[in-house]
Amino acid sequence: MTTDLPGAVAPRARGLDEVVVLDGSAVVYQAGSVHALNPPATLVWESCDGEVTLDGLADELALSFGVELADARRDVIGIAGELFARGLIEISGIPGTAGEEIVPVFQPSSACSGCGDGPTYERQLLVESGLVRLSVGADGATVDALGIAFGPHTVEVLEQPRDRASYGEVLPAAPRQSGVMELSRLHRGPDVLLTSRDPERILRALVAQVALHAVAPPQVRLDAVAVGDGARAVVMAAPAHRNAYAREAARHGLWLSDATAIVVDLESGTVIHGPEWQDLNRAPLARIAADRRHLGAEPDPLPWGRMKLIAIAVEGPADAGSVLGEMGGGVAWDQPTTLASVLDSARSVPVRTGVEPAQIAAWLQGR
Amino acid sequence: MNSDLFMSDGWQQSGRLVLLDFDVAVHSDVPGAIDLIDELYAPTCRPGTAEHALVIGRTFRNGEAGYFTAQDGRVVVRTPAPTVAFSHLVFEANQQAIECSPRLVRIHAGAVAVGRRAIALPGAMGAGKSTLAAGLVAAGLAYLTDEVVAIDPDTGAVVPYAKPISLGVAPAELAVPTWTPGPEARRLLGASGLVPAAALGAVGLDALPLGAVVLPAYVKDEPTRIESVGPADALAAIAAHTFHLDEPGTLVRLGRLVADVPVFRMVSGSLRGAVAAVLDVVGTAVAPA
Repeated sequence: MTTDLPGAVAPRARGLDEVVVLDGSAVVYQAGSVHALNPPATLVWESCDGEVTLDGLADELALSFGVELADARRDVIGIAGELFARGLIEISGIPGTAGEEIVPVFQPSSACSGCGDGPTYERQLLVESGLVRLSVGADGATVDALGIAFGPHTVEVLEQPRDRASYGEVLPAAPRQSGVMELSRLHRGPDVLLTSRDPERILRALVAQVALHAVAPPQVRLDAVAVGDGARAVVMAAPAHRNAYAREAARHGLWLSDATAIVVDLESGTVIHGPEWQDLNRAPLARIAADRRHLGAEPDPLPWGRMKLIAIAVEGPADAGSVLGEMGGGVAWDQPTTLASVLDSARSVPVRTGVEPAQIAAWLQGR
Repeated sequence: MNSDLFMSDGWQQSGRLVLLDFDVAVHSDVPGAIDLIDELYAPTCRPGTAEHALVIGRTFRNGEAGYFTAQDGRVVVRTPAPTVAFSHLVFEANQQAIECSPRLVRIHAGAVAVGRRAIALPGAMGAGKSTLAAGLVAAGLAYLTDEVVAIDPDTGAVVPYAKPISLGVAPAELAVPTWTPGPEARRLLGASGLVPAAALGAVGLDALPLGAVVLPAYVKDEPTRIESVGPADALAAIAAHTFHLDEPGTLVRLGRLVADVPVFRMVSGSLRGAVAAVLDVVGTAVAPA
């Protein structure tokens, strides 16, 4: 749809760096699209220098080509409207057209976009983690709490989000009476990453998940969980029945990490669980969790912090192929793990076959 | 690249494949996978040690056996189906060839050779690029590439990239040369329709100057029409099928490369008609090198 622009505006051409003119016709690449302009449109577009008005341009063209001024104005306004609609000219003072930098927000990968957009969220929070920007969808109160919790990492709150959130929190309100209670959930697009009866667990998982995006070499992000006692840990692929596994691990004095991936520092041989931000404010999250909590105990989670990496546990043969196949994915949509780093991790710590909690407890105890 | 770590029992390594500027070897413990890769990618094989690794392996997750595909440590897919893992491997190889070759202008196109000139066939998925390329090869032209035509902006030449061609279900009128994969290869290929370049006939392995561009569009039952396209419309049409046009200078480089090349737009519902039309126009339009 074209816009009738006033003749008094002085547009400026966009895309001048990526243009080829052939036989008087410009081919322009601008904002992800290719545009072929006919010679009159090319002339108008090239004349838009941010100083000459459309009326002034029409005057010049009428004089140069010996046409009626009214015809020239009609043509210039019509062409400029089409150029404006295509984003090929910008006009100072008209919102959304001049000088706005578009900062991309990471979206869930196409691998999890095949079955819909997932939940819709009342609001979204934009947060920065390392070099990336993420959007977190949730209800209004939770977004407010997360915004305070993330502190300086918070960019802004989106009141009417249009795009799909990078992550989403669904924290049902606590029931007033006994009855079936919906589980709290952490989403990535339509995918449910985690469920829990304890909303605090889901809030922790979200923060840990966001922190995963800040990983920097020599740290490596493995598509895995850590199982440990707070001082020592083993990493392994996430178990299929995570909550059941966590309960079994708890019987052996072990806890399970929060997120869908885990960071390993290869130089120091440590597992890094959760954010290492000193400025994280946990109080608002605790309040939200307390408001939404309902009956049902969950095993304690693995505490956040650094712990010694004892082994990489695999189900297949104890070799590099198993490490890569079982946990080489990482959070691949912004900072892919490299083959060398995964294989280095397999070299620098023992790779052992076996993922049962009893086996892992024995390893941690040096047996 | 720590390929020595894959030298344990059951792991094999392909030859070094040079896919444009993506220099890779495939590692696998899947029976038959390396033999199949070596056959599919034979024209791209070079001596030496590869910089990158593509992996297709067997794995266990939560007690279930399956397959995975990885590129330099990034697992692309985990799946119970070997055909899915293999198709991801082939896709990733091509994707990395595109991503690792920013010095080249890369167009989503197939290509064949007429004498010492390359004919590019750009088009969207489903336009009939691969089928038309195969039809032209069956008619006596040499196969250059499928899916990606990469042009060196310094020389103006199409860089050789004789990857396997994906024909899906080839039309009956296309006499696809017989290529019978073995049972292990069939378990990996499924219904992908992948055919080694060499199975089609002559394969062009030299860098060739671009002689013409034909933009095909398959429309069922439509009679064949082919027409010359003016320079600006031609550039815009080819640019619409160019990868990474957002890399600064790409449009300008593309403009220089195609400025003096005849460009045609073709609509056809018949492979036979399309092949005849292309042979007709390129026979007259392409100047000898």
